[in-house]
This record gives sequence, C-alpha cells and structure tokens, in this order.
Amino acid sequence: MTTAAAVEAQAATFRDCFNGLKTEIGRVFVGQPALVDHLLLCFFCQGHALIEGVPGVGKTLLVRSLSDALNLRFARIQCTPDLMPADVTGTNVLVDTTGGSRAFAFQPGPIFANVVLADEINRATPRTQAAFLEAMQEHRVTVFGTTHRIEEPFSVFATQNPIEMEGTYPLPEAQLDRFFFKLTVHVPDIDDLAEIMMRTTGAQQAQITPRFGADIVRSLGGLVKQVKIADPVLRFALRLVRATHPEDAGAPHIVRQHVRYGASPRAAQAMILSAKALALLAGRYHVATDDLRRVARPALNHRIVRNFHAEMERVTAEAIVDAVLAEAGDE
Amino acid sequence: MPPADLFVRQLARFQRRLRLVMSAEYAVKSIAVAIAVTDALVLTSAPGTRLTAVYLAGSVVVGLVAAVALAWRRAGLSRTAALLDRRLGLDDQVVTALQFRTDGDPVADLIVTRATESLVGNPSSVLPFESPRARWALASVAGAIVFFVVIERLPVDSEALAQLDWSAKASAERDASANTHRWSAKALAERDASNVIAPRSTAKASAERASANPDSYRWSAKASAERENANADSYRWSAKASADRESANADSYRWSAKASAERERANANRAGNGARDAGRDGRGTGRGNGAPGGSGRESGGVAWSSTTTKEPGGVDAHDSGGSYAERYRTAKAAAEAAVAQDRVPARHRALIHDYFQAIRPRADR
Repeated sequence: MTTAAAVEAQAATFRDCFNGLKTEIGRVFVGQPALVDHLLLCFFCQGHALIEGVPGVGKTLLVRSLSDALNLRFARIQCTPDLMPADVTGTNVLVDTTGGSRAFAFQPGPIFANVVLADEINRATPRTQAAFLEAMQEHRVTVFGTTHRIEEPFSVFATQNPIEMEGTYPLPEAQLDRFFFKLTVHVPDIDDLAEIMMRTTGAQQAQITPRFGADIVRSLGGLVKQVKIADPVLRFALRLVRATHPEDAGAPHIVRQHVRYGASPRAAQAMILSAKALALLAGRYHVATDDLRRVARPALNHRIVRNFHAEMERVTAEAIVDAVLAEAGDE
Repeated sequence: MPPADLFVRQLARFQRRLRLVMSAEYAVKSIAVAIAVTDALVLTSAPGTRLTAVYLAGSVVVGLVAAVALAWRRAGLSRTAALLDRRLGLDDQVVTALQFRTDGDPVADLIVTRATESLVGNPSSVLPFESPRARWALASVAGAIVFFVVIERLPVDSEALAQLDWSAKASAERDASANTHRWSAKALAERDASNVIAPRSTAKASAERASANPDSYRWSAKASAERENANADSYRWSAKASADRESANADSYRWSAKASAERERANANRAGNGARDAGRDGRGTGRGNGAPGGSGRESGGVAWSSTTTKEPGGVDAHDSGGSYAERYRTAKAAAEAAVAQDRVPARHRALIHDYFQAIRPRADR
C-alpha cells in the first residue's frame, strides 16, 4: 500500500527527473526554457506534441535531445509526399520459418518506439497522416486485421514549418486535436544565438548522458494522475474551454467574431493533466487555477479553428486564447 | 484526532470569523434598507411619529435578523475555503483539502495535512472587518437619514403635531362641557391624535378650536397658512384656495349659494383674516381636495368648511334650521358627486369617506 511518505518520495523523484532532463536538454538546446518545460510536461503526461517553427531553429534537435536524455527507443520518420502508411505502421512480410516453409510475419514500423519524431509531418499525404491517428490516440496499430500494442511510454513529436506551404498537406482538425500541445519554437535572441554558435562551431560537442529508463517514466506518469483537482478549479478549466466556442454565452467578443469552432474536450484533458504535472513540480499535490493558466496556450492554440475574418485580419489563435484567459474569472 | 477532523476544526475558526464579518457588512446594508423602507412607509401612509418609530424599529430589527441569517447561510465552509485560498495565496489548497478530506488516500492526506498547517494563523488578521467595502452602505445610511429627516418635515412638522395634540385635547374638553355637538369632540380629538393624519386632523382640530376659541384658532390658522405656503402641491388649508377653486368651478362645486357668498366675503381679506373671521363666524378653514397633479389652488375639487359647528356642505348648522340628518345627507351627496367628477386618489377618497362615516347622524348608525 502506498503511503504518504512514498508519494512524497515519488514526487521528489519526479522533480529530480524533470529537472535532470531539462538540464541535459539544455546542454544541446539553447534557450527557450518554457518550450522545454512544455515538451517535458507533454512527455510525462504521455501526450503528443506538434512543434512548429521556421527551418533551422532546432525543432528536430530538441526532440532528439529528449530521446537521447532518456534510455528509450527513439525513431525518426522523415515525412515526404511519397511516404506510405505501411512505412509508418509496419506491414506483414513473407519470411522463411524454421520448418522451411514461408509465412507472413508482422514487421513493426518506426511508430513502435517510445519517442517518435515525425519530421515535417505536413509534407506527408493525408493518407499517411491518418496512419498516425490510431497510434496516437489508442497507442496501438492494426495491420491486416491484427492489432499490435505500442509499448509505453509512447509520444509522437511532429514538426512542421509554418512558412513553406508549397507541396504540403495541412493537418486536418481531427489530427490536430490528438496533439496534447502545440509548441512554437521561436528564433533565438542574440545571446542564445551566440551560445549556439559557440557550442556548434567549436571542437568539442556537447554530449547528453541518458538518465532514466521507461519504467521510471511510466511510474511518474501514474503519479501525475494521482494529483487532485478541486471542483472549482476543474470548472475553471471547463469554463476556459467553453469560452473558446463562439456560441457560448461566456465567450469573449473576439471569440464570437473570429472563431469558427472552439476547443474540444481533449483540450480540457490536456490542460488538467499537464496542470497536475506542473503542480507536482511546484511541490503540490493539488492543481491550482494558475497551473491551468500556464498550460492554456499550448493546449488550446491548435484546437481553435479560426474563421475567414480572423485570417483576413490576422487575428492569431494565441490572441484569442489570451482574450479567453483575460476574461475567464475565478468564481 | 484524524487529519480531516483537525482540518475542519481549523477551518471552522475562520468560518466563524467570516460569519461575523459578513454579518457586520450585511447589517450596515440592512439598516440602510430599513431606513429606506421606513421612508417609503412614511411617504405612502403618513403615519404619526410614534408609528414611524415603530416602523423604523421593526424594519431595523428585521433587517438585522435577516443580515445575520444571510451571513450564517452564505458563509459556508466552501466559501470560507475559497476566500482563505485567495487571502493567504494558497493556490486552491484549502478548497481541495475540503473536497478530498474524506478520501483517505495518501495524496489526499498530504493535501489535508498541509492545508491544516496553513490555517494556524489568527482569523481576525486574515479576515478583518473591511470598512472600505461598506463605504457605499454608510453613504446610503447617511442619505437615508437625510431623506428621512426631510420627508418627516415636509407634510407634518413636529411643532404643528404638538400643537395639534394640545389643541385637540383642549377643544375636546370644551366641546364636551358645552355639549353643542352630537358627536363627541373628544372622540374626534382622540382619533386625530391616534391617526395623526395630518391634514385632516389638523383641519378638524383647527375647526374645533375656531369654534371654541378664536384666539387659539388664529394661531393654528397662521401655522396652517405657513404650511400651505411650503407645500403647495398637497393640501391647501387656505380659505383663499377654497375661494379660488370655488370661483373657478362655480357650476359644479358650489355647495350652497349662501355658504359660498359667506366664504367669499370672509376670504376676501386673505388667509389670516379670513381664518379669524371664519372662526368668529363659526366657519373653519376651508379644505381643498384638488385633483392630483393640479396646483391645488386652481384645480377643481371639493371645498367645504370643516368646523365643528358647521356641517359639511357649507351649511351653517345654526343658520339653516334644517335637521342634521338632512344636512348630512345633502353634504355627503354633494361630496360624493364632487369626488366622482374629479380624479381624486383612492387614499383621499377614503379620507372623505372616513370623515362622513365619523360624523354620520345617530339614526344612520
């Protein structure tokens, strides 16, 4: 039976693990601590993240660093228009058996890893993008009628370039909704750039030491779910999500004017789960409304479908979420 | 003691304090409301000073009881917990502990234990009485008091009330000894004193005074004239007002040619002299019951003298020689006709009705 002391010990391990990973990633990836925090939160909540940024800002490096810092299986899928679903999920291949006969055997694809990097996912065709759907949601893959489970922990980190839209297939809303967070990698400021130059152009390359295995990540994921959230705080999260819907009575003016569809219940799930992880990091065993505020932007940004007016007037999803946060008061 | 019980006990300390603070806050507001309610009652029903005091005391007591009850009901544990989280910056710890205190799992126990440790402070320092929040309530109390004082002075000033009591008693005694009236002057005086419906009572008392003691009536008539000058839209006591009204509505509102002629003659010298003359002639001050919204003086209405020696309808009891019952019926019919033609408020109609009920002949009782 778990005791309070055991819970406190696990929480301390969680904080150590989180901060250790952050330190390891920081050896390679310079700056943007909030981005790293959100990526790790997403990972410990066993969610998937869509990482958006212009080319060369370190999107792939960030995910690669995370996998290197963990003793986990890592797979990278470079998405191109000719990438087939079977290239992602795997397929049955004809193999020679020990008895000399031939039989079909399942050959797992790169999706069967603990950390999957889907690089430039918007370059894959919708058919291939759909291949990620079941894996991301159900943590399993069905090939030729047979379902294959994916080992936990499992997270897909997809990257996309927001500028170059030629020859791309924007992700459909259904798939966007499956991403726990959408993170934006900004262009580094001059100090960070200087640090990056020093590290990448010198003789010595920074090395990441793997620190934790899959077991500890799984147990910490269970601990996150034990964190409590009181009804008033829960309702605050739900009010935030409801306020992104233009037909909701409590929706801000900007939402009624510029939003076509609001966030789904998955947004609330993502907010609450990540807020629980944040609470643990803060040494608490309960969620506070401030935790929800801190994770609202990455959880809601990609789940808000803007309308034509918003695009014409260049009203961003971030601005809409900020307005929702500003108007959502505590009851 | 289990952590959950200890936590609730700690929280209950703050809850008691919150109830006290909220009771004080609501009490201030309830007193303001009580005064406003009393003001409304005074405006609508014109009660006497004693009745006003009863209204005020009752409203305040009811308000205070309601304030305490409301504070008791609203300051629940949940509200207390939420307030403490905000005041102490506990990041919703107390709210969570309150909700999960009976779960019994290690995480809930940790939350409850920590929340209990956070609630060791002094409740009075965390939940002080907040005067700034009651500012508006204090302002409304002050406003209500001012309003109360003003409206108390508008229709009936205290001096006139005191005089009314004195003169009504005196005239009742005189009338009882003289035995000149069929109805008891003392009873009327007592009724006036108890009802303290200022205009009517004062008129009657003035009329009685005028019949018995012209000197005392002169004083009263002067006071009445002063009141009328101050309150031109309500009851006009001036005999000149009656004359003006009657001359303006000569066709419909003349009670008798003789009475009118006497009134007009008597009122030619304006209110003071007219009142004195009226007292000497056995005629009291005329009373105008004008249409609402009218200027009293110009508006149509019923005008009759309301002295104790002169019957309604302007017919002199001693001069006409007719029976009282006949004069009563004539006057009552005329009053009813006049009231029916004018837009007289229901409350004023009731006054007229009450008046005729009070002076009805013995045969009609």
